[in-house]
Amino acid sequence: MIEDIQSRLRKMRERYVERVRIESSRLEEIVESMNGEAAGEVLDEIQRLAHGLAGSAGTFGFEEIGARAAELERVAAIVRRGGAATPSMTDAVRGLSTAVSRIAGRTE
Amino acid sequence: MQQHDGRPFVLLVEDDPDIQELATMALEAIGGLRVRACSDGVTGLAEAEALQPDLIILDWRMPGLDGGQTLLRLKENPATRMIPVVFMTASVQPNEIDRMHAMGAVEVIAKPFDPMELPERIRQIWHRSQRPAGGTR
Repeated sequence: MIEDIQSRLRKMRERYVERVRIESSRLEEIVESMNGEAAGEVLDEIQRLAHGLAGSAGTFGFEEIGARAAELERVAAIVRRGGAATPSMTDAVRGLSTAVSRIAGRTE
Repeated sequence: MQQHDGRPFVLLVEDDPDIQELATMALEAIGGLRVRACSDGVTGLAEAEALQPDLIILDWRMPGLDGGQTLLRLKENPATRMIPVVFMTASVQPNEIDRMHAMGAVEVIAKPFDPMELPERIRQIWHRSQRPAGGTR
């Protein structure tokens, strides 16, 4: 039974890695297309995707991805309110992408 | 916990599909609990009233009806107000946790959580929240 549970956890983790790759790529695309300005809906999508990763990554063992996603979510919220964030949105999404590329290197 | 076909029954309201799947698997396969999962607060309210779970695990941040609004409505409904509710959240600022308790949650579980430890944590929370013998919902 333990082996079955571990096997199921492993498969869930593999599917989660794929999700992280897809969503971090999507976030990169969105941020690169922003050109410094972003409509509310765009920022809402960034926050939604980032929040999802921030709230789930650590549970699957990817604490750094969770932290980077939380930072991106925080930055997007500040920009949404009209403020200036540090790091920038571009740097925040790059930090997330770097973290994702590290786990991609470990799992392939 | 009250028994339904020999197993205690938990309602999980969680909008993230991966967390929902992982938590359900952990509670069922590791903890031996019976779990009904749903993805939003409106469905959670209907399920809670219809199915009368022993305990509800409620995500704090969800689109639409969020966890706080869902809990308030659970407490407003005589059919569900006595069901113990546990929040699961990545928001772990002390003032937010205090707010969750003040709203009526019996416990707050922080994300990330350990799926191997979650079932025992839920059992312990349930035992602490049990009403005295002879109490009714």
